Amino acid sequence: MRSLIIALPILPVVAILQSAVFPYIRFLNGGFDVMLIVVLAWSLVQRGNDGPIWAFIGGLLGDVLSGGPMGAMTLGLVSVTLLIALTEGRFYKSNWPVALLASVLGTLVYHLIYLIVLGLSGHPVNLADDLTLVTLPSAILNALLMLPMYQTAKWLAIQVAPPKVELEQ
Amino acid sequence: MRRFKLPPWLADRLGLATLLLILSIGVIVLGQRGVFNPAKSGLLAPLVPVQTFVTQIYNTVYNNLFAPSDLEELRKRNAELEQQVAQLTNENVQLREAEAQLKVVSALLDYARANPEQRYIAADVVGRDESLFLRYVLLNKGTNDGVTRDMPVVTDQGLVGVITEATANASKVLLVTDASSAVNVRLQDSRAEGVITGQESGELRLNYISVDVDMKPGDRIITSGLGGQFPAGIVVGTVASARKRTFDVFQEADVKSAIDFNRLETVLIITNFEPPQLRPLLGTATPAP
Repeated sequence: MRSLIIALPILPVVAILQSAVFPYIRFLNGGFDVMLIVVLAWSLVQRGNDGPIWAFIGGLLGDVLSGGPMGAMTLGLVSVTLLIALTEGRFYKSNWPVALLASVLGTLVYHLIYLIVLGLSGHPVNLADDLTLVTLPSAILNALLMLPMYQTAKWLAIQVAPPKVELEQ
Repeated sequence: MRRFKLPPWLADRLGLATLLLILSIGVIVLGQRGVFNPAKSGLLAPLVPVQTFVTQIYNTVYNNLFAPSDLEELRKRNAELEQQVAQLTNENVQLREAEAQLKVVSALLDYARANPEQRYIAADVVGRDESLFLRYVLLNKGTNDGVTRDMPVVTDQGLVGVITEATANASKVLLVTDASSAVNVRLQDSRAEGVITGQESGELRLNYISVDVDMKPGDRIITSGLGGQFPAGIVVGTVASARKRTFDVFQEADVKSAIDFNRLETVLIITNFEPPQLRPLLGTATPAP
């Protein structure tokens, strides 16, 4: 519950930064998906139901500030966190190589779902061009962003919800 | 026979995520029907002032860090002054920001004076699209200022785009560089008509120019007014390179806009342009028996 309360100030700030600052930082035609990386990092360090809820709130905020179809980002982000939820227990524990892999695969899945919704809502989509021109460079940028974001999320998770320790007598 | 059963933790996660997935799809379907427009307006209202503040800070920092090289001398002098009087330096930074703003505004004013038949509202760009695949900008003027959907947006350097959504204190502009944008244009010299579309890469492409037309780099392209989306005569850009193949009916060209769409700060919204209502006319276009 505490982690959801901290989502309320964090996610609007992330949405504003994504719209006001990060669009100016470009690599080829790619850019940072800050909301995706924040949600992914939190999903990885705070296993449980928090990730999808963060994704839902963050997606709605992103959709409000976007000219695209309402719900497109939400669906993309929730889908990615669903995939993260499916990996729970498959890895010994989350660590930075897992986070890097998740950022690259998460970018691909998120962009793919977003483009499908965009196409279905009537926006012209050239899947091959979009995935090569935008998604690939974005995946690199997102992987770079994931490293500090993952560490920050880990630190925040400990502050918000310290892991339970059982002592044997 | 044993029935397959999901572990409780996985069933819990999947249950919630599936519920949220269904909710997301519901949001998309209902969003297409405009159900969330009032809610979007309500959510945007508190976000826009914060976004304006963040954008102003970002622009100030950017302008001071990456100012053009001809300000180098001025910057050195500033540094000397900084050592002498910290307060004066601070004032100087503020004045330079105001000067930069004034340059933009005076250029827009010149444009407005040169086109007195149109009425304008100046608006600041306070945000860009959250999606990397879309090219929209968010302006700090909305319906409270008289901005409505379909109003053209320009700068002194040419066409920017069109308002697609307006809330009480903000509006969204579809840039001409977006892949869904199509603008009817004509070459100013040859009067040949074509269509400029945005590309995934953010570039502009001119299509549907007949192969008979002599099109060369540097030719100026203006809006034609056809289709009624934009007033005629607004500069869109110049031909950068033209491609003509003998077996094609049309030739195409890459177009260079004078506008740096990545650095848009202030724009003008044309408020007195009313797109003609073509729909009733289209309905009567049935062939006579």
